[in-house]
Amino acid sequence: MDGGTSSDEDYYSSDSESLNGLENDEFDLNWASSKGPSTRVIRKESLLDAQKDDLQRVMDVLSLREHHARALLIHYRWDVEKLISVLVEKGKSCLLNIVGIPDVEEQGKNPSAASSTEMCDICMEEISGRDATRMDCGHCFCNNCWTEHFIVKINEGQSRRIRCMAHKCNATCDDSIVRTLVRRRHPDLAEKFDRFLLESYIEDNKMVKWCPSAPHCGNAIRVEEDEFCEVECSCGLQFCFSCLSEAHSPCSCSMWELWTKKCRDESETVNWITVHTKPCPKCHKPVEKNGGCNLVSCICGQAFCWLCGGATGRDHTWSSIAGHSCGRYKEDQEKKAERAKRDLYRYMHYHSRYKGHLDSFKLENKLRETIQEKVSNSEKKDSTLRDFSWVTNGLYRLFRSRRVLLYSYPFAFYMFGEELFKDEMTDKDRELKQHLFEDQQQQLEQGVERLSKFLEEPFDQYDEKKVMDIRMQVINLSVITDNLCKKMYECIESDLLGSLQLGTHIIAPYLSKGIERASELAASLSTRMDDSDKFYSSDFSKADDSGCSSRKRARKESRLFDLNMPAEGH
Amino acid sequence: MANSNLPRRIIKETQRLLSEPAPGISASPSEDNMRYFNVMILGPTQSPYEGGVFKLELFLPEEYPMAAPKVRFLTKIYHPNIDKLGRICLDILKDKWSPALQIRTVLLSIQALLSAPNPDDPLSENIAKHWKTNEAEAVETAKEWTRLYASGA
Repeated sequence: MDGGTSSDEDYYSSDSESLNGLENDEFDLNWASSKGPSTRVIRKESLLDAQKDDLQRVMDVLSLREHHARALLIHYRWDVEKLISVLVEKGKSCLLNIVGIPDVEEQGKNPSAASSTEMCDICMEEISGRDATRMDCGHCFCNNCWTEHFIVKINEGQSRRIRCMAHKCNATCDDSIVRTLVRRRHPDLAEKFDRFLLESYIEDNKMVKWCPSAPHCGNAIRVEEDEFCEVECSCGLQFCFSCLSEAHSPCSCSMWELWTKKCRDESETVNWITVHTKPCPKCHKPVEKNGGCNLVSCICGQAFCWLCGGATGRDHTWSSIAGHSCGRYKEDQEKKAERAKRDLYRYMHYHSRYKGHLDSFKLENKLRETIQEKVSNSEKKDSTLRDFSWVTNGLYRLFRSRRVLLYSYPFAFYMFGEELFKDEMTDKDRELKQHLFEDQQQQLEQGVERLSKFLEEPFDQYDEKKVMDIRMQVINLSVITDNLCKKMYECIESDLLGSLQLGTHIIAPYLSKGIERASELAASLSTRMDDSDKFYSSDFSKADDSGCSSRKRARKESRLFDLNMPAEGH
Repeated sequence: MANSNLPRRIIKETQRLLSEPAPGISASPSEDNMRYFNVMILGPTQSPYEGGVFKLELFLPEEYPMAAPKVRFLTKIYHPNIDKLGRICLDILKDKWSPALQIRTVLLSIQALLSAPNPDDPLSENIAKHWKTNEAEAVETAKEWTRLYASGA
């Protein structure tokens, strides 16, 4: 292609928006700015702040103390809305009952100040009042027994909900009491306890998940509304929030899981071998029949009957083997072979395209280095052309669209295959939908390939007019592919997955500007620092040698087109 | 033996078990290990185990009372919540254990379990099935076993 005039006139006329894009020199800003990100990075240091808001809300609404609010939130998996709806539906006392919070908060706020001696029901020792602690539920035991109990429970991994020692008492122990008592004997364990409590906000919360980076960056990501989305952690890793594997839309999570598994164990190959070969009765190597009659001879020299697999002599005619008769032609076996063959070819069709785009994606990733060079060469030239943002924008669009294309193949494999949606649509319906989808896929494919071609041009060696031509093509194609991606997602969401009756497959929405990078959670949302805050922050910063490393990956500088490479499918 | 520094709680519990035993239950510590108890429970009246004397062993682990005692039937018994090794499926011996519970309360709970088998939370799948499909017959078997193995010979 000469890069100037295009034979595909329909591209220009088919989409009026593309012309708008051309006229708008600032068009790159369209996708560079929109509403702020709805995902947040939670660092180890900001974990406390992250949960403060939720805790405070519950404390305010129900006028509870912090550890009670936390017990409730842990019970409702940090879903404040759910908690409030239960409150509205069933009332406060019922809600508090669920986690064993006494309705009257005042009782026992001052742990038995009486200095008289009492017997602890657990160890049966006489103890003075100051060595005993009364919980909110009113049960009082000696500090020694409480401590023992807490240690056992923390070690059992039950820090988030340590119950009172009394039989059938459902109350959750005040975590400040747990902390204070355990620290006296085992400072390390007290720290562990604090960390477990803090991490509950991540582990027991469906809107917050650890970043799946390995080695772990120490961050967690919180999404605001929709858990079906793709996010980018501040460490640079992009992932699907829902299933924590690489970002894979427009494939649904379960499709992607099936696909990677399929690619990994190459089940089709195994399938093919079992159906198309028979083990030699002598050397047991798999033998494939490459034509001819039913007398097969293995390379080891052994002759055998293809129909029954039994060893035979070599004398035969086309239809029979001398001295051997093993019955009739088996129809079901033939059918099985047919199906396996068809399935394999189908898989190979989709896999080769998937693999092709994956390879292109990798090659194009190298392009960004050479293209930087071309841009700087061009900038050195004495020319009226100064702005080369169209190059980087075009390249970004190329990566973005290539990704969509890449994952659209596993999607199609499952959408139109029999594995998942066999009973969802009639054959005719399926065929219709498949055509619709494939048309879109094809258009996108063309757009992406042309975009790729233009970006590979050595434009730094061209004259101004030719560069202008390429620029126009790249800008135009960027808009086209973006729109095609958008349309494909729409088609998948509403026409294909949206019409399913049985299964629910949800895909992350398409974002023109790519996967959103989670923004840092503001370091301190709450200005107030009460005693328990201090407890937390000091404890937490000391607990560095724990499982989640605090070492952050070096932040990458130039982030403009640093898209993560998709994993090799096999 | 570690008996010399036995926690006060165990000593007190033992004393009370011996001085005021619960009706139908006897528990006495072994001579060489004060944490090991020989237990006898009489089959509750109006239960298939009536008339039987059931031997059990009870052991107080190091963590007791923060951890539950370990209890096991030594006498063969036909019961949906007790398996053929004598292990007992009882919530307070597992996740519902509370340090405020005692040997006495545990044994009383086991006695109550004999009066009220719970085939919906079985330890022994076969017996539970028997209990649910043909309770009369299962009760007969339990009586038979009581006569055969728990007659206190």
